[in-house]
Amino acid sequence: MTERPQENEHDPDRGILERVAAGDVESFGVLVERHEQRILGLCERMLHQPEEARDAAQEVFLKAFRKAGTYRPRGKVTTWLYRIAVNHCLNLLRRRRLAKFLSFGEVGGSQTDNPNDRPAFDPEDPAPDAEQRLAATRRWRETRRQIDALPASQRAVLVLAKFENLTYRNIAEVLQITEGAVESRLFRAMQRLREAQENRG
Amino acid sequence: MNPNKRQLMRLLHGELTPTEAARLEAVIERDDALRTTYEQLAATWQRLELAEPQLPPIDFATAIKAAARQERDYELSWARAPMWARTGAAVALTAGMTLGLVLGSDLNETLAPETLAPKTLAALGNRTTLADTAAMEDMAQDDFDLDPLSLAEIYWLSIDDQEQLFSDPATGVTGSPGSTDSSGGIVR
Repeated sequence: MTERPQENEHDPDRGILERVAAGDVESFGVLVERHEQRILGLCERMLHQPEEARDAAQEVFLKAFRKAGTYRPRGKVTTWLYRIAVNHCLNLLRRRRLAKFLSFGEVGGSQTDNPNDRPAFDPEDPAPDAEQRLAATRRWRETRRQIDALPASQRAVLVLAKFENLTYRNIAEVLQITEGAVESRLFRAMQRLREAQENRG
Repeated sequence: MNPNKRQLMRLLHGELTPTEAARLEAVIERDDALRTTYEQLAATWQRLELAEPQLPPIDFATAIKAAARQERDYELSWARAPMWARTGAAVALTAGMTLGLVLGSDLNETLAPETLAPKTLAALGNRTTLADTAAMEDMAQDDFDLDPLSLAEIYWLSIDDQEQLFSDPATGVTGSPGSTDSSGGIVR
């Protein structure tokens, strides 16, 4: 699980972002290196497709490069990057849904429907034997399927809370909603997941 | 919703202060329904597992940096371009967008599936086959997936197609959908 970002501490990224805003590409490279794993991970967990997630993460950083001058230091740079990433992923999910609707077929998100497919986050798995690995893969696949079935707004809250380990306050900042909305979306997402698990179990 | 129920996810997620957590845990002990809900939520929360995401490719940052540098250089080249070049580009862009809008509105009228096929049929009379009509209807429906530039291209292609359909190789006379007589035949 990702380490929960600390609040109320000096944000070293601000100075970097100021230089990026002035057009310093080397500083931009530093910013990318500091956050690439976090942003790529978020995109993967939102989109569930590694290729698409890589492209999305690249686009997120390029958007950050373009918009660096518009950053207002109200929150942390990490929160700002998360916001760009979540919004970008939500847009992609909408487009994916539209494409699926228009084609009346499978566009994206279908690669795990075939039980012989390898999971998208193919494991560098610490599980020692094949049986455990297979069981883990099944659990991940099942979780992905359940998360895929959630409305996008609930999915975003769940991913940020469970897998990015953000606080309610951070999630509210990223999604620009109230903490109360975070609470209710997460609760509803959990209820849906519980129902889905019960239906399968 | 019961305020204690709302707090359950906060407890699971570690959002509550130790005092708040202790208070809620005491309530959960006493309230069977709340305890059941909590246990269900906790089980669901525990069962949510995803594999660790992939590590970024080694050249990930380098590739993005190169793209950013390219963008910056492009913008700088525009910023340094002489005023006449920037003005000319702005005028050309505006003209292009206006033309695109005009063509786009014509296209909606020309290629709308419900109007195109009867017109075409009327104009062509017996020379139109079902396959022709179906193909044109398909083309009109496919337009919804195309961007404006491609729509414009399709528009011109459709004009070319119609010219071909209406030309009579024997006499060299060319017709258009408007130049038909009351029976639907081509006016010569």
